[in-house]
Amino acid sequence: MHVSRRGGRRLSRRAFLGRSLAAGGAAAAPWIIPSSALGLGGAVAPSERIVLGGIGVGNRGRYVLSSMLAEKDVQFVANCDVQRSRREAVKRMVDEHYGTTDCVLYRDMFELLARPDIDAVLIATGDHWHAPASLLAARAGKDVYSEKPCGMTIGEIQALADGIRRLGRVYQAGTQRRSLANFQYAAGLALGGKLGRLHTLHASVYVPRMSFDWLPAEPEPPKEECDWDRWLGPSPWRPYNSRYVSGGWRGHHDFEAGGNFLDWGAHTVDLCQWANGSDATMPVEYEPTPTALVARYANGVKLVCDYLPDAFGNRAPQYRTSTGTCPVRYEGSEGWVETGDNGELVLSDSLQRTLGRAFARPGTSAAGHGRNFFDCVRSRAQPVCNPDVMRRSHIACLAAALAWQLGRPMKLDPAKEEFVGDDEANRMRARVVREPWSLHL
Amino acid sequence: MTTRFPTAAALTALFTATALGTGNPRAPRDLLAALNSSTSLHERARACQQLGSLGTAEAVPALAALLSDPVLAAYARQGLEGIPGPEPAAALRAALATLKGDRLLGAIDSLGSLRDPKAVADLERIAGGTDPAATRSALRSLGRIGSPAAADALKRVMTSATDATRADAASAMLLAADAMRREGRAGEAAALCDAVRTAGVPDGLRAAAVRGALVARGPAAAPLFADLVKSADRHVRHAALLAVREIPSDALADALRESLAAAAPDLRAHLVLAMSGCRNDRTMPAIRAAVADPDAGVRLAALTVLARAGASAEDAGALAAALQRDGPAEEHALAAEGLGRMPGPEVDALVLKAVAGAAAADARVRLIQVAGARAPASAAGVLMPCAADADERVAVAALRALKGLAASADLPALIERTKAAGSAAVRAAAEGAVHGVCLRTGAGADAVLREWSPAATAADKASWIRILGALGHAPALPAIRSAAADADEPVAVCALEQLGRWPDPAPMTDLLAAIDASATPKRRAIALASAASVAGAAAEAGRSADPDLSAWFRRLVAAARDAGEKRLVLSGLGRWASAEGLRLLSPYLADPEVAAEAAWAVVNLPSAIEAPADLGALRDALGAVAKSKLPADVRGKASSRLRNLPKPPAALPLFDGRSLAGWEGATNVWRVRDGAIVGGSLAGNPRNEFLAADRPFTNFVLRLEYRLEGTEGFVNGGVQFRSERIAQPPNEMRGYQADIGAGHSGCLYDESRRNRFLARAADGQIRRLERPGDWNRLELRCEGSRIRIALNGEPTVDVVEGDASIPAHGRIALQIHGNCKAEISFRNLSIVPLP
Repeated sequence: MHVSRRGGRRLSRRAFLGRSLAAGGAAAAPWIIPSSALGLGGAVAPSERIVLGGIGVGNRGRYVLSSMLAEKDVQFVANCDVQRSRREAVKRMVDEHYGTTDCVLYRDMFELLARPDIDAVLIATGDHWHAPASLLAARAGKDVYSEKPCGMTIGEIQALADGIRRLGRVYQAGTQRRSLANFQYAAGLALGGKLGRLHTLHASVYVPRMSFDWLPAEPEPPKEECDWDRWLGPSPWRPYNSRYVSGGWRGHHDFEAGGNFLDWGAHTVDLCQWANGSDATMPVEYEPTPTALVARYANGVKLVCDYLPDAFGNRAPQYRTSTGTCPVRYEGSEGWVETGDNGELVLSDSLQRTLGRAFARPGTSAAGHGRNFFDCVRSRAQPVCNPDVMRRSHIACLAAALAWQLGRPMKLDPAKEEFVGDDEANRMRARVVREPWSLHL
Repeated sequence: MTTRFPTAAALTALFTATALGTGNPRAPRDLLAALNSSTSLHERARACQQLGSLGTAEAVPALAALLSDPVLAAYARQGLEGIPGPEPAAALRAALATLKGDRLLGAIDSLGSLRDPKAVADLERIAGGTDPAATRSALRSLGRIGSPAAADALKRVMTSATDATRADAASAMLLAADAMRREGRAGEAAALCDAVRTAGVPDGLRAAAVRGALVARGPAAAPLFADLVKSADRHVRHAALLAVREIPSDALADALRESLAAAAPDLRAHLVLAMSGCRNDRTMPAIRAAVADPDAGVRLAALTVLARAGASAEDAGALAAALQRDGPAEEHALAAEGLGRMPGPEVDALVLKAVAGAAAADARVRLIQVAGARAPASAAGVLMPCAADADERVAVAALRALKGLAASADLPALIERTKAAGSAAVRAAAEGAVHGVCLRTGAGADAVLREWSPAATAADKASWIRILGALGHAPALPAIRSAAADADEPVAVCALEQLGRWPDPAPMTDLLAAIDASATPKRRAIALASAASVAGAAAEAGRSADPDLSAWFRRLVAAARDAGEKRLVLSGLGRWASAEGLRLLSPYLADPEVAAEAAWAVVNLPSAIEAPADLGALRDALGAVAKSKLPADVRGKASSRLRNLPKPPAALPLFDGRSLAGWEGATNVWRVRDGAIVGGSLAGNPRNEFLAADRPFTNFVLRLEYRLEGTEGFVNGGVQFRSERIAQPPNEMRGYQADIGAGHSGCLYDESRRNRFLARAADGQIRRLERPGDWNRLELRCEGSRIRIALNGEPTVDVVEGDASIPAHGRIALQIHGNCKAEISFRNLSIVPLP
């Protein structure tokens, strides 16, 4: 452990970190004291840095990576992507940041994961690879920061959460809004009783859609350009089309989780779970309506997932456009609060007078969330969006998406994570992972 | 907030567009038929997927036949894994004999998903084979099956030679142990984990096995833990320590504590940290002792735990002692955090006693800070003497703490302390304490005001101004006003600054006067800044419609001379959500000195400015910014805000240009000709006739064009609104009318009701505006009780209905008057419904 220079010895990072520490689940007992470990502000010796690799880092991934590169105690050394153009874009970004040419590129993630020097990986592939890649990384002894949605199905989420715990790794789901000031403040109001008794939570989502169509077949490019079979990975085979690999996978059932319900839902439903203090459970009823998916907790609190026809434009009347994207609103007997990515907090009149507070527009930066992950990599404590938290909010989202897909109300047993009296829905909780891939390691 | 949804039509369109599948049949039999007969790969794949959620045993043979197909195998497995009953597993087992390569791996994986106990023998055989991938897959599936037979098979494989196989078997055993634990088979789970941790496997797996072995034992884990934590292998030690937080128990807490004595300092620190997640009453004395450990790492660990988990007086005592010892800042921070967290009067008393007895000044300061954070009422007695301490650091710390907890009885002494302050730091802290007392008790400001006298020192005057200003104490306003003109510059400046923070606009007139009259440039600058701030605050506080506010801002705009002053004024204007504010703001957009700031002000105007029905001015201003040569970021924000402004409500056409659909009336009177509605005849109109629109409206803007041609009689027509047909005579209607013709165009008449003009335009205006015999534009605007009419773009009527019994709701109709030879035509009719 790293102790203050004034007092005692310094145990090197490798001595305590070891890349194969087993970390259990449960409450956050720190392994070391993170804040004193770093000598923040000063340079951190290379041997003391957390060595990071990237898998599938595209547009979204580069945004997250940019804030991770800024951390002085992290060194990004290698990137893996099945597409050459994306691999190389990350190398350019990383080399420019460090002023070197040292970033190594791989097409095959097994080669990256086999490197003993890498401590942790940033996984930013498309949805369908998130869970299998996270488990492969964990099996290889790496800690994982994975973009959301963390898995495609309820079964995948269960296997992921159980596997991470069994393998003793630190895992952070990329639902970074839990680390942003305005969302933290809003949740604090709800949890602290300032809104009175909560009755309705609003989580914004896209209008769900889901396609089973195949795009027209195009000739597969050479593997070095784009390894189509590896891009598909755990998803069942279909003919190549260049649109899939340039973001056009969205909307397709085999590649996007829950009919794009989870694109915002993984964030907004997670935020509502947090504000409601229900991280240990999930809603028990899910009802599709034309304008929203309405879920209910056992204690009667409603979770309304509002469909936004113009999610990036005019979000009225369900939300105030000025609060920004991914808005949420928490309503209680004494007042309500609404906030979104613009950092603006809107409060009911009575609260506005006593509590009105402005935030310098923090945007959607993942900086705080990444920092939390790296601190936990050192301390082996549980990050803010650890597998247990992720499990519940993702299963809630996936259940909601299934209710939308099947077009009927459904009941869920939150302890067993099974639907009650709905065999078809239960059979849709899992999808096959195409051979030779597997979730279970 | 009202919840209005997008139109049902729009949403239904979206919703049905996302309906599932592509018209695939959903009945299981149909799916099976599609599977068998379809030639399209896509359709067969889709059918397989759907059979997974809907299929029955009947489909198993067809699906199993696809297990060797390189593309369809995964889809077929989806189908098989979903179908209930023993048939899918049986088919998969049968396929093992013939499948090869990846296809074989798929079938093995599916048997694992199904947790088929009958597959164990086959899987063990495959695991013992020569294909490493198949071996790995088979071991994995054995782990998922997790039956006693599977566990035995895995144990047998563990004795196998190759490291890789042993590692895979170990991994599978841990997976099985997890499932066993969930199913309540803890003993079997523990045995499996033990087998792994004592085998030769990589560090990571051994660590996972340690965790599994302990967690499976749960409350009985203590003996094993005590053993493992002494292991020479640090992976094992660390895994054991981390596992503890998953299974906290009394026995484990004791085991942790008992391990402390013999452990090396590093391990001691980790043991202490582990106690954070697993402790009992006997743990705390050990942690308290560790707070004073010679090893810094152990101390930090102990303080971390105590800071979060400390509860007893003894715990508080240990933290207080740590706070007083010389040491690194991190230790003090943790001790302070812990003491601040622990509730209760015993802890208050302990902290205060420590304050009184502290030996060193910096230790006393730290304790005072904790006392301030805790803020018990009893603290004042101990802290007041500290406020007069010779050591400035102690005095300042005490005064800061007293800000939050001094009582009115302490006020006189605090006032004296302010006057006697030897340094700026002490004075500031003392002022803060005085202010705090007055704010919390709601009293005392008068006592401060009594200190005010022209003979007071400049420093004291400034102190009283700051305190009274921050309190917004109204009786002090005359004194502060007079201080704004004080000969002493710092006093005057202080007063002008404080007036700028006044909680209401009372100082406004003084500030505006001071701008003009200021003796020095600095005073003028502060006065203007303060005035802009007060005006801005008033605007934000919702006094947007206050007429004084307009006057103030106009004064400020007129007074601002240079770029700096203009910026100050803009900062105030930018907080005012009103059309007039925008009018005052807009010219600055063209001022090269402050164009950028003005643009930001417009872009950031509070969202309340979007409320009025007419957003034209805001649109124009944002549009001007977006098209300007200002920096890209403000232009981008302007464009973005412009895009997101509430869309003007859409106009509904009332007339399709071809037919009278949506209207009813006498068909021998009303017809469509050349794209217009025509009523009446030049041969003669015996009586009033109305063509009425089916749909009623309440609030709206109605726009249309009319043309009236006539030769004899009372050549007149009109537009009814908020009207209804009368039963007798049936050709008449009752309600408001926008009159047309015979010198009454653009006037408001009350047809068949009060039978008089409710409002008239001036004759001269009508003559000037109207083009007789030609097309004219009419606009009717009804908002609540307010009715406005405009003729050819110019307002002719603007009235408010005072009679509450008059309905504000009804139909629209077109009229041709009786007793004339005339024809009236209408075209381009549209209506914008308003909320």
